[in-house]
Amino acid sequence: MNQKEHIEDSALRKDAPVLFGLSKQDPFRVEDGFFERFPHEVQALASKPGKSPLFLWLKRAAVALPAMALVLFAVHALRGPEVPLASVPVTEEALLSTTSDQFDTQSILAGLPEEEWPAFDSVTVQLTANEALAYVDQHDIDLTEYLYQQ
Amino acid sequence: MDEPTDQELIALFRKEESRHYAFNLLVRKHQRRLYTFIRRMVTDPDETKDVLQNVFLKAWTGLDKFREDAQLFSWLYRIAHNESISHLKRMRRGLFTSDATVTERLVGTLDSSEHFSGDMIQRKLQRAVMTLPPKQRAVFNMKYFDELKYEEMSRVTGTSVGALKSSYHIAVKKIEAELTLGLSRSDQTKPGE
Repeated sequence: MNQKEHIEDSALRKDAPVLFGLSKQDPFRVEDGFFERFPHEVQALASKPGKSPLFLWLKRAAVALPAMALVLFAVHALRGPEVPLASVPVTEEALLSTTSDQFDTQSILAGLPEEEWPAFDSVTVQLTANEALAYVDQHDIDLTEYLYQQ
Repeated sequence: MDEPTDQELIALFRKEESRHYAFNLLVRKHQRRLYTFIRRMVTDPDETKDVLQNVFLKAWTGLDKFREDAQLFSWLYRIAHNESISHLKRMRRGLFTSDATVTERLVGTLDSSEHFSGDMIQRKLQRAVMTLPPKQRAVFNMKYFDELKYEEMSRVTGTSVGALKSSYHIAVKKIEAELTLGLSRSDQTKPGE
């Protein structure tokens, strides 16, 4: 201890006479034979074969892969719809023909007199160019006739 | 036979055939001082054992990279310090609570007579030490009980000498205040007892 520290230490001892008047004993009890057994116990633990790096990587991958899949799914689900490239007006007739079988709109309407049919307006749905072409192809629409009617 | 020096132990440890023997000697040589330091930090004997085991397991894996110009005991003491602080942090996280509740638990363990053999004033001292924040408690224990030099404490804690001095002085004043308060309370209660 240098001179400066000695002075500081003396000053501190004066400030805390009760603390520095106590004997520095170790009041904690240790169970009998602990320090004889402990080196063997810790050595046994140290000698256990460690887990290989491959195991650790597999363990990490088991957590990381499902998390990554979840993130990708979330990104896919939250991504906005594709930008429409073309819009095609779909008439009532076209809508009726493309209604799913589950609702079977045609059979429902067939059971009603024509005056009780709800008023259908022309509905515009946004289709991409490919979707529009597929629609025309699937329904054998003659584009020349269709355009002439319009 | 004389106790081997730390340099001899490290040299033995680095030879495959004497590795386990050297480690056993190393644990025997340093376990008591480290145990006492950790016990003063975490109080509970079972938890002390767990922390001490971790310290030596880290030493087992890190000793190959240990620089021989550093002191082995300081290095082990540093691991013990870090492990004790981490243990107390984990304890706090585990209980989802504040430092005050952790302190209450430590004092509760201290009050259990089977773990503590000191007299009334020693109990008061240890209770006062337990009220210090973990890092300050470590500083106090290193300086007051283990009588480490500030430079050595600085190597152990990674804190500057000036900050350590300041922390120790504050800790001493807090503990003196607690002890004085405790003594004056017991003086007041004596006539009625």
